[in-house]
Amino acid sequence: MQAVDGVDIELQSGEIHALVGENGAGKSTLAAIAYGAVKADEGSVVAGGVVGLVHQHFKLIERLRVWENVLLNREPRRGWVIDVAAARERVNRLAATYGLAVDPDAVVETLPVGIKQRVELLRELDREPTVLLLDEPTAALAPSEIASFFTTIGALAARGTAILVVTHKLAEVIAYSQRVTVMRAGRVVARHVTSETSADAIAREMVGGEVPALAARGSTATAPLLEVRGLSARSATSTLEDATFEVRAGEIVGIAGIEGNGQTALADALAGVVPFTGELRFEGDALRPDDSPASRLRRGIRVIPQDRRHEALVLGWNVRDNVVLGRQRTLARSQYAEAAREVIERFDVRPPDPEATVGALSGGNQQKIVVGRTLAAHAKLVVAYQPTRGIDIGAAVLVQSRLIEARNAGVGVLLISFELDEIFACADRVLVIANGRFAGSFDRATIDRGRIGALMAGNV
Amino acid sequence: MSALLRGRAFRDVAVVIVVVFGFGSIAMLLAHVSPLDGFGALFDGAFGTRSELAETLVQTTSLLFPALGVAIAARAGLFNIGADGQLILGGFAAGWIGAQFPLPGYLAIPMVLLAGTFAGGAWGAIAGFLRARFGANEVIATLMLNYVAVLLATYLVNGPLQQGGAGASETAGLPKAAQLPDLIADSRLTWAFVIALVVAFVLRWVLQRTVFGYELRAAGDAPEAAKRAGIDLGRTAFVAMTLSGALAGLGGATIVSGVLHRFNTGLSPGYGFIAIAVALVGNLDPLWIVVASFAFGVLQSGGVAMQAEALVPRDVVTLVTGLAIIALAGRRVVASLRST
Amino acid sequence: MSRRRVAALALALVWFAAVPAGCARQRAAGGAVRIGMVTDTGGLGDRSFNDSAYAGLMRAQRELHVDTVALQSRSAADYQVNLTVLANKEYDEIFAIGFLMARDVAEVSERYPTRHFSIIDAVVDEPNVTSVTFKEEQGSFLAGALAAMTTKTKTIAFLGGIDIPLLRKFEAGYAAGARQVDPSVKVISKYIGSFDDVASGKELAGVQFDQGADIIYVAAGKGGLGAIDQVKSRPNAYLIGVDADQDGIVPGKILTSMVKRVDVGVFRVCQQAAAHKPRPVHLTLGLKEGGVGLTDFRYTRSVVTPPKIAALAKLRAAIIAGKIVVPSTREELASFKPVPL
Repeated sequence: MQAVDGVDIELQSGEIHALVGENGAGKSTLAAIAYGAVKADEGSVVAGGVVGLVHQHFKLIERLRVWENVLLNREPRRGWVIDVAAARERVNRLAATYGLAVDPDAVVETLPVGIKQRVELLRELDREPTVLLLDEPTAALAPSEIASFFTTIGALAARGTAILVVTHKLAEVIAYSQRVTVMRAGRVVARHVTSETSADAIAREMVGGEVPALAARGSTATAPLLEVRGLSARSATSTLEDATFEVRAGEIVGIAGIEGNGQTALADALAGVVPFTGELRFEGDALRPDDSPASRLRRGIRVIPQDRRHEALVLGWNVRDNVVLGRQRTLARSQYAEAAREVIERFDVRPPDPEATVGALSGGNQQKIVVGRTLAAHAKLVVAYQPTRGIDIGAAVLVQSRLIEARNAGVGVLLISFELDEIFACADRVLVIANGRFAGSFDRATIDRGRIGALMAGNV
Repeated sequence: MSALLRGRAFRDVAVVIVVVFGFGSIAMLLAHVSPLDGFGALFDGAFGTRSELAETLVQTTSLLFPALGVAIAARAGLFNIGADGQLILGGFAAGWIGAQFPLPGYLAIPMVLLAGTFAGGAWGAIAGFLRARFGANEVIATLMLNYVAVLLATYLVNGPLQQGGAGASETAGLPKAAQLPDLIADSRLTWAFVIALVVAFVLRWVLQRTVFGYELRAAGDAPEAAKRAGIDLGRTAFVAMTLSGALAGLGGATIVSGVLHRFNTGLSPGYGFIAIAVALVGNLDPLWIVVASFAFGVLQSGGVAMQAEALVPRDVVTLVTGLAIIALAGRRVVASLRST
Repeated sequence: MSRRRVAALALALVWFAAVPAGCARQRAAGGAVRIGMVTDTGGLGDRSFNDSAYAGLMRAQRELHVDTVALQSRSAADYQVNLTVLANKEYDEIFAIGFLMARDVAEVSERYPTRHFSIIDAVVDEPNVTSVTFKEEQGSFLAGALAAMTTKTKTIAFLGGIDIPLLRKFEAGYAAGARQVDPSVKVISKYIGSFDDVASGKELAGVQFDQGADIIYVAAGKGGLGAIDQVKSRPNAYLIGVDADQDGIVPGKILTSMVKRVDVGVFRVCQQAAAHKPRPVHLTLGLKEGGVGLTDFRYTRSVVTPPKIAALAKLRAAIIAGKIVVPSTREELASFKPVPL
């Protein structure tokens, strides 16, 4: 498959250059070619010095410590042994220089995503790159972290490093980049000096037309669906304590919070993957802590997991078999093809081929499959955990619209997201979560951005 | 894990061919034999006459059952290296029951085969239960259960359930009614071969076309996603290991009923271990495994002829088999490192 | 395909093309008599039956200029495979080493009536099979006589593997030999119930020593290793080994070994085959034929004194001359009376 075709991009030392485009437009492939991880069939990459790359999907060795990852293959040695003290010192110095605080001795697998990304970034910075490629660097960061991240990047650029940011977040492109290149279908379709263009204009160039609007919110008659009282739960790296809230049929409840504040434990408890204490009532019936995931599915509780690659999809399988996953007991074999066609059409999965291997699809198209099959399964309650993570505007708007349509049709939606814009766009009510506890509740009419941001940061 | 064990069938076959002929040639040269003579004798011994071809198919059959067992466990993400023990216990149950309870033919053969299937299944189920209930590593459990199986069968056959005598660790002979009928006259090839082929096709159908097969593959390919899709991983592990053991046990029963006509503690020259290689070369796909079993059957039966005819030590076959496994495993490891 | 891969492929092709030319076949030119042998699962290197048979085969290759091959069996399932392959490949004489193969030899010899087979240590009633057996009772007689001459406690023991007719020949000959020398010597007999139970072998040998025996004749396969373990810790106690020369395993503690010369049996059949002569249906080897006998006491000369050796030689001559008829069953043993010489 040809992912990129005849692309020319020129980075200048000292600039932050944004590369934007739809899912599968070839951004990540281009970055990989520039880094040297993928061979170009034609053309060449010329760089004056070391090229660094920070991946969207981190390439860290989970079992190793931070300093071991940062200095991998470049460990300071004393004869045959690694000089651990010097290594720790070097990582600390690096962290201080760029304002990326980490604990050098922490084991990577215990760290939240945001910190892992810092480790990934530090690893590249240690090589003192003259060109730094960042693939969706802010996908996992909280609003306040995003600002400080770009402060760091800006400082780096000021020292003469050329920086290419591959992203779909146009607000960040406008706010932080000096130039922008727009790609579509493997080709460059526009180049701008950022100050001479606008987010809307870039969005239109990416999509190749008008950006689709979010689905309209209908008025719905809500009814009690999920009641949660004093819920506490714990999953691998996440703890939730004493949560009390309700989700009504026909409404979207948004859970706003920074990653790593108990959202995973909440989603897992509802999915039936981890046990809980407290009281959960669904349609008036108590849910038991030892219920299997299958019994939750039978009741109509469906969770869109955060990590689609591991928790939702079988990457080696085709689209059709993945669409069936979770409904394999209710659909007859003869219905598989129809179920796949339905999701492919409603969610505009590209390529529209039920036999395509899911692992080869772009993240956005993978997510469309997960969301599509979840909504097609006659769910009563949909728990959507980061449903638009790492996917571009077109796909995100599509996913959000489908969630809103489900709400309009009487489905209860619990939307857990780290992106405030998404929550404000979709939710009827907003709950703020911080440090594993619920910190505040807002109706759509009374949303106070500043107050919510403060609560998310743990300031009461 | 099963994704790790599966590769591209075609390329794997190419690797195996290169290893077998390349290293086989080197080993033959070290034994001062021309590779042309050596491999000539091997293929002549495997296909040369009708009875030699029949013997090759006997070996194919004996490998096919445990290889299918290994494959179904691997498709569920489990590594069953206890197929040899399951095969031996299956053979024991078949031999003991077949000799102990004479029944008319139309009942005797099914009873003998079922006895082996159940015994092997029960043995696999132990590891499956330990995995499902306590999360015990099935590799260690099945490995250890191999020893227990051999010792248990030896004890039973020499002790409380002794039927034989004459010093060999074996049961009494099976009555004619309990012996699988010959497929080719004057050979040891029986209807077991046909049963094995049917089982392979059924297994493929089960894996590809049934909800059970779907859930089993999901559990193996993406356990976390499978769990969240309502698939009970513990139950799947238990059923897969039971089925895996049952297939190996059925294999043992066919060796007893078709080849030896009695159980002997030495009935397996390590079929359950070679089966791991067969399953890997067959890409864990039942139909490819039929092909792989035949290829290994050729090596097994041709290897003896090669020794008798070209004076190449038969260990050359063991050597190249081992090297082929290492090469395949190496490819998988490299592939998995590249993909992460 | 990368350049490196093309290079590797080319190299491989050259290899296959060039190699066969430079390499000759090992076998002598056509026409030589071909003799094959199938080991039991003990295999070559067992320092016993299989190795002994192989020694006979090698001697035949050297002295009779025949082609030979030995196929090893990894499992009981291999016996028929190996025998069948040799039959298919037109071997002139096919040896099956050990009674475990009796049934397989019977079946294969029926399927290949034009081939000839020999089986060691078992009787197979087929026209194209030579059954090579040994008069173990004769060698055991000498072992029993030596034990009776040597014991200080007037108690000696026999430890067998499984209670089957073959083993009773050892037991009867041994007890008769002891009675011939000194009717007052007590003989205790025990069977382990298996040929590979080392733990029970050790335990039962201990029991026999505790009962006052100071010499044990051990015919128990691998179980004998347990008895060897036991005798190491007993002063003034000895074992008598069996089948192969086991004297060197614990030098000084193995009084002697009653060896079965499988190599002699194999070589004698090979002589017939090499000369294209018919083979006997039954070849029974005793003291006279050199098929059984005691070792040379090389580690135990201090105990086995020249007068004892002379007495043994006299007994041996009497058996060969037919003056002593050694019992081979318990019934015959019951009626055995010392023969005045």
